[in-house]
Amino acid sequence: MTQLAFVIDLKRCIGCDTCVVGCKVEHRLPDGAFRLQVFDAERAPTPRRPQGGHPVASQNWLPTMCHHCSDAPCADVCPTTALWRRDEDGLIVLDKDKCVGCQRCGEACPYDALSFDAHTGTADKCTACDHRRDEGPACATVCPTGAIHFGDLHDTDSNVHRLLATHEHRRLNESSQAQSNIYYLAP
Amino acid sequence: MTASTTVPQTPAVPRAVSHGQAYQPVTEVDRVVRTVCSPNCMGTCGVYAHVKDDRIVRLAPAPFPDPGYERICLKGIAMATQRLHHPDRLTHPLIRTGPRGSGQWRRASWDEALDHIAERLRDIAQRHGDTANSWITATGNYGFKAGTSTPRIANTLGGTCFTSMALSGDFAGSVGLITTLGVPFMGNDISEIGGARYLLNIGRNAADTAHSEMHFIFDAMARGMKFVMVDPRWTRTAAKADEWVAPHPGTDIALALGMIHVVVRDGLMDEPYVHAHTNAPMLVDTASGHLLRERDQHPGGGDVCLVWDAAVQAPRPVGTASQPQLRGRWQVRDAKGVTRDCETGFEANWRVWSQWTPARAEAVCGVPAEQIERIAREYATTSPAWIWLGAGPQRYHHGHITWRAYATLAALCGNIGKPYAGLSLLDGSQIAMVAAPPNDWIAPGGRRGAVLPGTQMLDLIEQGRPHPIKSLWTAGIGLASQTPFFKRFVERTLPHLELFVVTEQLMTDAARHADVVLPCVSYYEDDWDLVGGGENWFMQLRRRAVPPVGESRNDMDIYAGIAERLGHGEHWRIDPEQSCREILATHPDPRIRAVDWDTLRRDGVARVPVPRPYTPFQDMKFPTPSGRIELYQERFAEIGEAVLDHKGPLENADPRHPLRLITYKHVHTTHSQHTVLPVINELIGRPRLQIAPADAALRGISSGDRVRVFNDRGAFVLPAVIDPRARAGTVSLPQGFWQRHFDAGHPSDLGHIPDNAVQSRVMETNYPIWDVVCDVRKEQTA
Amino acid sequence: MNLDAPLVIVGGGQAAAQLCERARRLGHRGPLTLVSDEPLLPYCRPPLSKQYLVGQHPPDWLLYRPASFYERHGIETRLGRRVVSIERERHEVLLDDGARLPYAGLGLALGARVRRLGVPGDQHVCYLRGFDDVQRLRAALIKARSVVVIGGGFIGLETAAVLVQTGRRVTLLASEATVLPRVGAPLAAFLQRRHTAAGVQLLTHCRVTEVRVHDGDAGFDVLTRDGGVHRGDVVIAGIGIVPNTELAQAAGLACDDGILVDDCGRTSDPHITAAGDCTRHPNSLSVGPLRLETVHNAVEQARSAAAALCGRVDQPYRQAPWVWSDQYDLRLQSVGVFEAIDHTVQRGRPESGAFSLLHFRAGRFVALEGVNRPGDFGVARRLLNLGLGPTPAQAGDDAFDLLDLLPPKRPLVFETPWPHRHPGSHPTNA
Repeated sequence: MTQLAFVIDLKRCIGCDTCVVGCKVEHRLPDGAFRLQVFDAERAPTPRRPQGGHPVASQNWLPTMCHHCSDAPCADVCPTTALWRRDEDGLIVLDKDKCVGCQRCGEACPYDALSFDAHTGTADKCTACDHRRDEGPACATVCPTGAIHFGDLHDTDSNVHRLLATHEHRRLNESSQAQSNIYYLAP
Repeated sequence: MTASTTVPQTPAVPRAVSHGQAYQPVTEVDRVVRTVCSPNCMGTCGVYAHVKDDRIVRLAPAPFPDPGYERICLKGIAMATQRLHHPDRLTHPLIRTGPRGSGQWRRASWDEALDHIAERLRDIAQRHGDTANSWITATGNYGFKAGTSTPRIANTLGGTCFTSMALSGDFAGSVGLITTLGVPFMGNDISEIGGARYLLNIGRNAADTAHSEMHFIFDAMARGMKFVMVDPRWTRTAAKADEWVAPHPGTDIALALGMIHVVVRDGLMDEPYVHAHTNAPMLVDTASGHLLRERDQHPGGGDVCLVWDAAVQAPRPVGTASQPQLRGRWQVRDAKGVTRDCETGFEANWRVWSQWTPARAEAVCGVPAEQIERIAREYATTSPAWIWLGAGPQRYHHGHITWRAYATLAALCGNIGKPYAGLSLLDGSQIAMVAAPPNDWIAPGGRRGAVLPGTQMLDLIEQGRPHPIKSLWTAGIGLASQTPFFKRFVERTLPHLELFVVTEQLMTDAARHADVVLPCVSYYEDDWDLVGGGENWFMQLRRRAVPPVGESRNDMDIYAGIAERLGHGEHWRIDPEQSCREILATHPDPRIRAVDWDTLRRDGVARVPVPRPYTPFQDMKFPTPSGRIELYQERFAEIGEAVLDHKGPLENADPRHPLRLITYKHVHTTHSQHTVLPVINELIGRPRLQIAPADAALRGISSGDRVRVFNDRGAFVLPAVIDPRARAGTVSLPQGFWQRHFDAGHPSDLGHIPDNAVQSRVMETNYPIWDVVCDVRKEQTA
Repeated sequence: MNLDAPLVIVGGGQAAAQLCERARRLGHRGPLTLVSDEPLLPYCRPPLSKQYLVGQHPPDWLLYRPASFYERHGIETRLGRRVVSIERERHEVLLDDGARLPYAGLGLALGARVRRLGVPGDQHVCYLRGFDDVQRLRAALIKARSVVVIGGGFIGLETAAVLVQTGRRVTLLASEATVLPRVGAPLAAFLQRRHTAAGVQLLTHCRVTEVRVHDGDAGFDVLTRDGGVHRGDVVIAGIGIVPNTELAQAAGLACDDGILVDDCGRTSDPHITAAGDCTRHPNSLSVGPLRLETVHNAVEQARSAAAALCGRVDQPYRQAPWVWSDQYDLRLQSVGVFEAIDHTVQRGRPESGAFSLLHFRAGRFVALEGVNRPGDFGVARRLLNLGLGPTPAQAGDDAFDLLDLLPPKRPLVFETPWPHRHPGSHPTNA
């Protein structure tokens, strides 16, 4: 049984936005649209706000996109089944033909991963680059520090499996019980 | 998602994606071409350009023999996909029809444009001499042919080429290295940093400006290397380091002196090394500051310097003493019977360094004495310990002393010439390629033109010295945003020029003022150029991914058109592919000659063989007057810089200009190349002045207020943002923006290039970008 | 409430499926049986009058939850079975095959049936409500070159839109003065213009009196009171639906044009809840109870009703009702309750094909209708659910971003702190 997932190494993420740009270019997202964003902790988009004052300071960056939750609230609330979890690999798939743009999904998502495609009036989100399964997601390919990993959680030979077995990791907003499939390694 | 990402209200913000294409990834491309992205980030990343319908739709990292070099970045992706067809992209030669800067152009054919230029160059040369035609280029394109084409045409025509390294603000530190080690650049191979146990990074904001190399650092940290980041600003790199040391801007020399003091005081110096490899033991005439030489002691003696031999209680030529002394003062009688007070170079320095206690250093640089003590001890006692020098700390008037200071620290600890240690700026095959290009290439036919300092370009043009200059042609340089004098150039210098030509890709602020604008190709439209490694030892081939946009040509072809018309065409009829092979085969540097052409041609990348670990000065031979590391620099004795002492910024807070201005480098652009690209605009918007809460409160400034930043030289206007993290007394904003991004003026208008005696004497005074003070006030609303 | 006791859910639509799903999510583990008189697992109805009617989608495409869902959650499904009666004292339902299903909790999602014309020739008319209807209609359409559509409501308009775009001749007969009589005049007029521009012959004030077989060839004539005769190879009617309350009424549950329920979906019987098109229920935005015929209502109300079945009444259904309709390139969306509107403000311009109308009652924002303004719709829906809204001045200012009225987003946090690390800290704190 496959469950595709991301592992993101917060120690190596330098907040350079290469993943954001790579995703945007790959999917030809129009101006103002993003499927992947990088925040610093506690959500503070540019200018990045570190914690603490001078000279004691710390700052981490947080890439986030669709978490392809195993118990996705978006799929739960979608009135037209436009959002559904694909059994064979665990990705949350959005069928824009079925979407009526009610934005219940965006409201329900604990990770703000859903945005709005103004061209079609439908929801929009990360697809884990389903159209290029061999190369893997664009964000992982372009990250210059190799902070983003993608693969099958249940494949013991995969990077993601190995990293989770050997590193301290967390998911965001764990109490949402959405069962996120983005695991973050300690910063 | 909310519309929280700011789209700037600038003219012609281009729509990057058409409605029909939006949200549709390209699943099949026409071709994938391996080529190179090479702006001044020094990444020289190999890329796969995925091309569909002659547009690059995707950029991916290309393979290298070492996978550690397979990387790209947001800027490269943005440039490849958004710059080539930018609305401001130049596609045809333009000749101005209205006054300069009026934006009135007529489209011309290449023949007409080149005829127009050649005729004027010829005419100017006839009236004022060949050197009256001048050129300047900088770092827009690290392709070898592209980058060297400008000095090549200047030499071909006997014209003048202005230097640009100092104009870029990158040269002061090199002066310090030249005077101390005899070379302007040096560097370890960053991929080998895993062998270091300690990294002391002085101002190299790698996570922002060299993020392609950060993963090597992370790997080394995972292996236990301690990473100390010295930077006045909190940056991405500071956030990732183990420890952040935050001196006041421009006071890195004081920090170094505090550390040097601790190293010497606590007996942590590598004395045998200092004896053997530096000129510190050499005797100095205390009164004159000059080194004693053999001929002072014996008529007919040579230039060899002297050391004090305790065994015989007398000076002896260096290398011949059995007990040479590092410290001490003695009276020495010379051949004429005159007795002089003498001391070792070390003693002369220590007189200064002994005063630089950590407490005194703290008083100047603001770093707590305890931290100075600890970092100094850690650096001196951990091995291997690697110092990485950035350009930032040398962007002050006395920037040459900054790098000299850290070279001194490294030398006192015996680190220079040691593997995984020493002093590292950057080094790689790109520098090796251009540091000494083949003579036949750079000066075809053996002819050379004049070379003049770019930092004095305006003065020299306006004053017509040392010779008249009546034309200027720029290529690959962001004259308007990256130099401090564009406002003056337009107002006062341009009237002296009968011809101003700009080769560009986009209609920049500088191009707007030209008489003729020539469209040049981007990296992706060019074919057959060699790109050396910015910070690595590979060679790569640039190959064409997409056809030239419009009628764009590459720099070589553009200049060839001029050379033909002026009777020097024979040196410019060059086979693109063959010339690459020849340049490698005839290069003076044997490492470049050793590049395997067949591999390079087949793979697009090949190794440049260097010994491993790559260790500069492993042979401990320094191209200095003494052949050693010069901790004592006698030729600057009259200026008071024979010994290493602190000199702070030239401009410091005064009642009219209480704030320092820093225009910092950052991850979203390399110089001015990326700030007009749509996705970059979306991510960072227009620049805002970051100001500390106390400074803002004093001026009644709130976030979002429009403010004027000014000094006696110029002003610019932009919105402010209160930054609780900002250092009080310093205002800052990201660099690389164009005039369109400001409400008025430009930050570079506040800059200056005051002459520095040491730098001018060695080569050229550097542009001290951050040695600027100013004030800020809230702009009255209209 | 004993979560191991049996639950029975009656119905074939999205409300029925949600009743099952939600009960399982809230911890119900006992036997759960779904009884539907349709041949398909619960499916989405809206595509029947849109993409499914003229497209190539397989029936499975319509399913609200796939078959594996019911297996995974241990939900027994009895398709093609009708409930004959609810025996409240025995806590059992009786099926048409004689089977008796005991229940501790019963969820009724009985839906609605089409209102019929009731005129002579009614048997020739195709009504469009369920899967069997659309299959028959699709077959009839294969040889049809012309269609008469009776009804100026959503069903009629959507059907007309998809069919005229296939090149067929379409006549739409609306009995009132405008299509969609319950929306405002400007919007109705906008839609009528769009249909007419697409080639639909749209007639209002047309009351159908008879449907006759056309002499000679196949096809029909639709006669209207004004003397008109409208020819069509196929006649389709969408003139409203009638809630299926008979089963509930027979069992003695309180009904009034729909099974009466509270805001937790509870009927007059404590063990029985109801949800969807068959119910009449209170709504926080309206004065009196409403009967809503929307997917949103079916899904959301069923979630509350399922909670009630599990003994949870802490999840009342309090949402602004909303509905959408797709016609041509227009997505029409509306949210809120359209009662006692005294002021309307427009955003955008109808000429551009994208505009929205914001409706106010005594200065308070209560409803929005939008055409191709999904952004406005989405934020209006969220604002109404939060009890927020723009002022009329803000609504009328196209430069004012309605999103600014929403409360800030929830933060992204790691709820368990990371192990201690101080990058870049002062050494004495390390």
